[in-house]
Amino acid sequence: MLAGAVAVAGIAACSPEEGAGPSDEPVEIEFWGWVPGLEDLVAQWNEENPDVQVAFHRMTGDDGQKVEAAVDAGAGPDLVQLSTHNLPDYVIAERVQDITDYVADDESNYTPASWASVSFDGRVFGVPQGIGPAATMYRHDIFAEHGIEFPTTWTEYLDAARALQEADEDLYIANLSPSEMGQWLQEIQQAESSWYGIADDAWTVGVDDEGSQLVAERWQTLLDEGLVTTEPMWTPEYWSLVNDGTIASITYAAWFPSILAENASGLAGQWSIAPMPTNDGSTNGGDSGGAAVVVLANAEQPAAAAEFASWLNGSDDTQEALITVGGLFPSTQNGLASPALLQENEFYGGQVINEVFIEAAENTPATWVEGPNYGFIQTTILDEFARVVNGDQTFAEALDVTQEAAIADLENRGLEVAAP
Amino acid sequence: MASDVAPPPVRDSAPAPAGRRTTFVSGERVSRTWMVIATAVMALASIYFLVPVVWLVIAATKSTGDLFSTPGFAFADFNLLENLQALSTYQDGIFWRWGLNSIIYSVLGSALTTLVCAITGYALAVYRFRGRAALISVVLASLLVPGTVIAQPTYVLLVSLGLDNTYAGLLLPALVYPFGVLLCFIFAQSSVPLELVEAARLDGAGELRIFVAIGLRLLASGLVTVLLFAFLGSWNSYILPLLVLTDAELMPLTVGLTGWNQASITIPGLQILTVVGSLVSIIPIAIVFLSLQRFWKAGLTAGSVRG
Amino acid sequence: MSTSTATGSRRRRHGAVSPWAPYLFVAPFVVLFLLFLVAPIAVAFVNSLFSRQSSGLGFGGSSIEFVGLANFVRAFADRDFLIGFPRVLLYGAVQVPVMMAIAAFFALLFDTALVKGRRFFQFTVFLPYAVPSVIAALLWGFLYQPSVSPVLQFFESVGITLSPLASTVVLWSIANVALWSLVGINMIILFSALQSVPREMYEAARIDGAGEVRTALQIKLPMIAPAVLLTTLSSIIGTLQLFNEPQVLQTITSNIPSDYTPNMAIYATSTLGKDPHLASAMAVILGLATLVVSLLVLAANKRTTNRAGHGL
Repeated sequence: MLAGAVAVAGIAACSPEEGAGPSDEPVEIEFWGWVPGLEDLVAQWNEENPDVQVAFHRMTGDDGQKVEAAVDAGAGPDLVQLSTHNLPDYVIAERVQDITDYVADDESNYTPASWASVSFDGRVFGVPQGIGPAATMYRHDIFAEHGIEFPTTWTEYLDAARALQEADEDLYIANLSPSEMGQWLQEIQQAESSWYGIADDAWTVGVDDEGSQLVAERWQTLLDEGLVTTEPMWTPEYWSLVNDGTIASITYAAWFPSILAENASGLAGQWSIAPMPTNDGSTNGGDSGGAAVVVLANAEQPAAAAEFASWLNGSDDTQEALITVGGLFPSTQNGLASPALLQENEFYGGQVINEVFIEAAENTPATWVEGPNYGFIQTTILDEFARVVNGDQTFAEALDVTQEAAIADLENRGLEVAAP
Repeated sequence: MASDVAPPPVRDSAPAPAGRRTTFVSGERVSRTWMVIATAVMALASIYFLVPVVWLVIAATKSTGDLFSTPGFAFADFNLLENLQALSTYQDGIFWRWGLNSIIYSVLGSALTTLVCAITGYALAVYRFRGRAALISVVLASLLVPGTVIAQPTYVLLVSLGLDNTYAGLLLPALVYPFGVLLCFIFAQSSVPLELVEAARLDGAGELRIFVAIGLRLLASGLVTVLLFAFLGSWNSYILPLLVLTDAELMPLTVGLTGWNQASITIPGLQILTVVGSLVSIIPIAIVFLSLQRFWKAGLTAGSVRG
Repeated sequence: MSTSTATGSRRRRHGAVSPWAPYLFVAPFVVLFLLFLVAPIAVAFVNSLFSRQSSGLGFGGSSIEFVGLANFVRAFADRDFLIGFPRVLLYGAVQVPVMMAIAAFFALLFDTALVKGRRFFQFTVFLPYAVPSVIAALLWGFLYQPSVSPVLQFFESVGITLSPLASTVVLWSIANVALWSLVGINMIILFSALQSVPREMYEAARIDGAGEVRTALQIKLPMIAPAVLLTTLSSIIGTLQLFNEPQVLQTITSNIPSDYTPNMAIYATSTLGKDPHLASAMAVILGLATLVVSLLVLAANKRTTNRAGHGL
């Protein structure tokens, strides 16, 4: 609220100074993001809006940390793309501005879950940009060769995994990467788990809640029975497992199929996409998380910045490019209605793959709550998972350790923590 | 084999290196067997040092598709020229811009750094002044500071000086090179004879002139080492430019290439560009080394003066 | 101002030094040193005494509060952070002597006439240092992954199965990357120190009938003791601050956790854990630990040889 007031004052102070021609000095907005094709969209905006000129910087891996250092030092861009998992931390550290006043009208164009992921304490801190509903990409040729139906439930999945192993000891149903957070998140969200909850005026921590324990049990079975490989994802070693047919399926978010197609181009036509298997008695889907464009604390023209963010993520003009070039799965209603979403995909044998993801998005429970020390929990839980894969402990034990550490960390920040 | 690059003032007192070598070789203790063994040992060792580089060279000739699907030490379809072209055109050839930046940072930075180190190390070795011992121990202690500690505060400082995202913001902090100061100090101690400085003073030379005419000259071989270190330090530096620079046009190769490698997760074509770019980035350092290599020989003249 | 010093000297007593000369000489360094090293350290130290505190859910904002030594208490209670210290000490205890021995061996060998094609070999030993450490770790990362590594595949074909990323050996695989990168530069320092030693020193030994090996160990090595000490010391410091290699290799193996070395723990805490104040406290602890180890090395060195220490 304070930030908004300052911003309004800023604009008010600006216009009389400029006198008659407020448009002779264009507002300059610096924007950092990583989605492919943003350069073109920024160019389009700049052409159509001579009074608000946006400068774009493409972020790579380590730039994420740079944003925080820059904001805290009083430098940095005006707008940045951010994982919504990290947003509460930014809100608490006052690194982002409240943009409720500028974007409140956009709410109806966004899915309720994505809007919730940028709203805290009744205020809006960002414009959602894509979500990550999960589905399973699988080698239909391998499953057919061994006469195995692709499973629809996790129980069947375990049986299928055993059958594949029995048929060929060098064949695994999937790779269980101890370092890939999203694959864990999508399954625990499907099981209606949430790392955080809010009880009155306090946080609750649910790292080891019922849903997470259900997934932990399943992963433990996969690991103990040797049904999965355990390479870290994205490495050459991992892609060789994919390319030489050692792993028969990959369960991941809607932005993954295009990456798979690029990295396994020799396997075109041999993959299909099916809904992620479900837990018994449930039709829930899962989601590994989305992103948002946020206005950072040092932005001097938050109204103009928010206006651009609102156009970029929500305009009818941008949806097709974001979907086809950017590879985003839309969090907007007009994006979900875009014909671009329903194109046939050659790599997947002409399948309209997004039909599966749309269904997953519709079936994703709205139980996940974003909370303040996501980065800490992620680091801790991944380190603990690595120990699980090495056989030093079980997934259940990893959850207990992380739960305890997460609560201690929240309390060290002065935050209120309640028992779940 | 050896070219004579000994500095003029002491040239006459130093026999030509080549001549010395001959005496060594013809000396009765250097047996042919030992020479073969030593050379064989070095040949074996050089395999170890070269294997990853050879892998890099071969990988750079492959297409994205062949990079990991063909044997690492076997050539596949020769794609080097296509790769170089892709490297030159990707994002309007920003790679060459990064290379130019790296060269600017490293050349300018290392020259200035070496000068600062030389004059400081020389002063510590030649003069006795109040605070000298304290300065030496503080410089020594500063070697112990983990780089990660000061990266963030340095960045905040640069922002408040308005130097973030500028060439100066990257160059100025790099001038503080305690290790180089210590090296110069040690070199000066062993190769600048105080008698010579004293004699120059008696001749009426000023202190700065003595430093330039005698100090710098006698320190030359040591300074080449410091120069090389400082050059490589700038060339390899990653954390500071990552923090200080936001403009892709200002970035050095390390930051650019690492960024490409990280982005190759989602843009697979960048993997091969990272490989080719890494190979190209080694070439300037190789040239610098080869051109400085002969200077190490000059080092022996410093000792001759003293002896 | 320096010219005035120069002209003024003529009027002074013969051989007298202007009292200001040394200060003017060291001034540029001292100013930069204060600004870009001492000031940031001071800031880091002050940061370690503060903490960002919120209340309730935290959405009311936060403030930076003085918490005394609370961050240090937390750091010392972090078992995984503390385990990093003995780990890098073990690493250093093996990697540094091996690296220095190899570097000294090469330097001494190059200083004799025993090696044919000396320049070429010097170049090959040095070349890895030209590869930025981030890229070097990347390269070795490829060579460490069984399905893409030609080296591992070669060993496999002759019946030797190597898994350099296994949790028991990954520390030594990291050491190998560092060794590969750094032998060359240490060799160059020692070699250039050897080159500045007056040849007459050896001639005397030679006349006494000392062989190459004896000359190397008993005459040459002691002569370059200060350079050996300096390179050893900076190598030890380097190992305590081990970061780049494990950080890059971390992306290809789960056997390197985010707090594998103290420096990695600091980085993870300040960036991923988002607690720069706790990270500052950890960094101060690491700095002090490095100081203690270095002092021990210097003390040990003084005891074994009273010659080597004089340079420092």
